[in-house]
Amino acid sequence: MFPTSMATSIRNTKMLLRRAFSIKRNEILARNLCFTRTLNANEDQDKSKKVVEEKKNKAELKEAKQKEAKAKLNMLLESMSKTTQKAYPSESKLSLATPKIRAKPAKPVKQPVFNTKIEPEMLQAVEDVSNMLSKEKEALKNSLIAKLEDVADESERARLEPFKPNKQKTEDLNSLLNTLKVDGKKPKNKSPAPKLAPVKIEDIYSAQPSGIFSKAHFIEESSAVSGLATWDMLYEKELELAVTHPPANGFQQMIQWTKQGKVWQFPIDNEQGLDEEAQVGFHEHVFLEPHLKPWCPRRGPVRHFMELVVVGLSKNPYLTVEQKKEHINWFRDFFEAKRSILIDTGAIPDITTKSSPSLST
Amino acid sequence: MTNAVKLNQPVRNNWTDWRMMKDNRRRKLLVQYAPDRVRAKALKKNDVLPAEIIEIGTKMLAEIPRDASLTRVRNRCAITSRPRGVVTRWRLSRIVWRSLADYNKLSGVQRAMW
Repeated sequence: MFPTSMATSIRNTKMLLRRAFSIKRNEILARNLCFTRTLNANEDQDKSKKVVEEKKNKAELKEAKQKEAKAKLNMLLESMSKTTQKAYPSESKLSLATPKIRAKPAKPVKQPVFNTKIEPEMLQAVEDVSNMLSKEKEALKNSLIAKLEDVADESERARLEPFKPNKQKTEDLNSLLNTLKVDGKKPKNKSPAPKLAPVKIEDIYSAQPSGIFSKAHFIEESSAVSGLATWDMLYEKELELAVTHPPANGFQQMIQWTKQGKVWQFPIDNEQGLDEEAQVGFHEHVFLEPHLKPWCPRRGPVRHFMELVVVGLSKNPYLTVEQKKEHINWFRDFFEAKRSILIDTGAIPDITTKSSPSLST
Repeated sequence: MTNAVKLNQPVRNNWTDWRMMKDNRRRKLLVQYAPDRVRAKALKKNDVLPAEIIEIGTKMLAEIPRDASLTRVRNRCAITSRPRGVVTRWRLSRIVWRSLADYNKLSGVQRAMW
């Protein structure tokens, strides 16, 4: 361990001081460490007081030592300041490169005023005006600047405060505008507008129509056919939804269906809903020969074919009577259309002398 | 299975897939052309009428669109559009049918046990 005494040669004071101080600190730290370890080790409450006392003493000692060290350090530093000049000259003796010193061009004197309220352009304008107009440049400049500042202040205040129309000011403004109107410039000689002869109308409805628009073809505006078909459809859907109230849940759905009669009634009847069909008798379904009677020939391939058709229809429970009639009529029309072919092939006997238009003989 | 068809996604149609849509289109055409088809077929498939009429019948049948044919219609599952394994009475594929039956949504359907 180094000696803790500070009395050493001047050359090594710095180093030693540093080292000593650091050692001092380390000593103190080490001591504290050990102390804290002991503190942690002693967890008994009886010894705690003693430990606290010891700790206090140690703290005091530490402070005292620190103060001592500081005082000595100060002394040494003072002594050093005189010697360092001699030991370490500030100017170096080496010939190093130095930058060239160029004479800077003389710049014009800028505006000294940096007025925050007024813009620099305004200031420049004020300067120019004051220079040009009067001899008392400064006074004029100051007055102008003061006025501008006032204006700026007022505008700021007005901006911050809510606007309240000032009656006096509006009156002034109105009067000003009126004066302007009165003192308006007279228009220069323009070509006067072509003046028509004044129309003398005595009675509006008695005059003859002029007939200007008799041959006019007014282009009809193309009916607004929007190309947005989907949008239109959706709009209509939305309208429907707004009016109707679709069921919100299954119960409401069942209620709706029951009211509409869509729900099966118990005991199950297979012909539920087919009330109209129940009224039609079976004879209308089965006996379809009367439908052939007016037009179909009594013999021949056509009759044969139509009889087969009728037999098939009579056995069909899925078509209504109307549908069956339509079926037969379709064949009648078809054979009527192909009459020439039938005659050519010999299916229908050739009856040119007969007056009746039907196919039957 | 109230959310079988997703209604909150951006779609052009609400069919499960395009095949289902086409099948639906075929069914509609079938209904539309059914009478014409029956009559044309009757004219074609008979040996009673003269040959010219039968020829006309064949032409009429050929004019009708192919999708109006009954043979082109496929009984698909109404939810998944599965072409095979469809339980006819419910129009559902066997998988969907099973899942619904397990959740007690099919009236009178019960797990078999004997």
